[in-house]
Amino acid sequence: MTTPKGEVIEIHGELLGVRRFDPNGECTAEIVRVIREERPIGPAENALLVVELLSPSTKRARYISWIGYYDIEEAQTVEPGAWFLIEPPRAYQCLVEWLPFGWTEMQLLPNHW
Amino acid sequence: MQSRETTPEPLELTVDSIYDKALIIRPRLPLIDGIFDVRADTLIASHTPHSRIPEHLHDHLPHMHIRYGFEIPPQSLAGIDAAALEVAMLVQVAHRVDCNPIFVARGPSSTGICLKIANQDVHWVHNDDVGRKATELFEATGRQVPEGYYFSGFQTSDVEERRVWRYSREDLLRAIGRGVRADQHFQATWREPREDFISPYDVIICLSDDASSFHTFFRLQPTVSLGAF
Repeated sequence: MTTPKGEVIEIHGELLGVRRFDPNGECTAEIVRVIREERPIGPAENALLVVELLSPSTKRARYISWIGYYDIEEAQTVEPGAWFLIEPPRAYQCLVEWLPFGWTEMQLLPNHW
Repeated sequence: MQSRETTPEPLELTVDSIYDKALIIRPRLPLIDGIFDVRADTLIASHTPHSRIPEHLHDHLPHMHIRYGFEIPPQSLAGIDAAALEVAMLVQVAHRVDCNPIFVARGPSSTGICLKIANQDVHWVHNDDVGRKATELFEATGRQVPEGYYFSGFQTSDVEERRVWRYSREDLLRAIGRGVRADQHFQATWREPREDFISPYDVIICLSDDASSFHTFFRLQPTVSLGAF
């Protein structure tokens, strides 16, 4: 399967949570609420994104169906020790490769049933 | 003459039947035109991504509106000290639902005016137990949850939609007054967001509460049935 290529854009938002391999380990993903409308080239205002950290300087972002802190708390119960709340949220601004509907077929995050 | 002091027996209300203890809520056709760009007579409607509407968390994704009206008639709430309202809806497993507040009127543009109980907007939080309860009640009627569907359950919550919120009997009585009539909106979207349009489908709703055994099921259809409803 070929990996789609997206535009590199700057997103402006607030960081609500992160995923790490362990509590002191490197961050592997960030949950961000967008605060600035960037459509059509970027995400919608108020959308929640997951930003995946491929390397310290390479990030890619996509939409998730999450609604806020509730979903991160749910993820904490599904993957204990991996998810961390950032509360209150922190200002977030970053260059990412924007792939709104994902980069492969299967990329399930812990999600409410 | 010897006086005898007696302590009067406190008045006691006994609730003998499960029908005596109930928070009665009845489905109704919705009334309010235009909230989230959904017509008053529309129960199920699929939308492609559109511009921002406050309280509409999935406006940027393909989504399906699930919408009904309801009435909470005047009632005594005998035997109920406090209660969280519950709702469960039978949706496809590829979908998840976001609950919007309960609306009592249309606000500016395509927004709604929220019902308040206990001086705060009524919100909802996911609750798997409510989904399981709806499944059991549904199957007790002799029906089966179809393959590929599940009851997504919710309880009333704080405004952050993180913790269950139980309303006191007094709060409920004040809100109900001489009867409450309101519209409820939900949005189903792809669990893993994708660009595909969601084909609209029938959604069965279960309304209940966590303090009594009262519950009611009804079916929402993409097109309202003709005839008595």
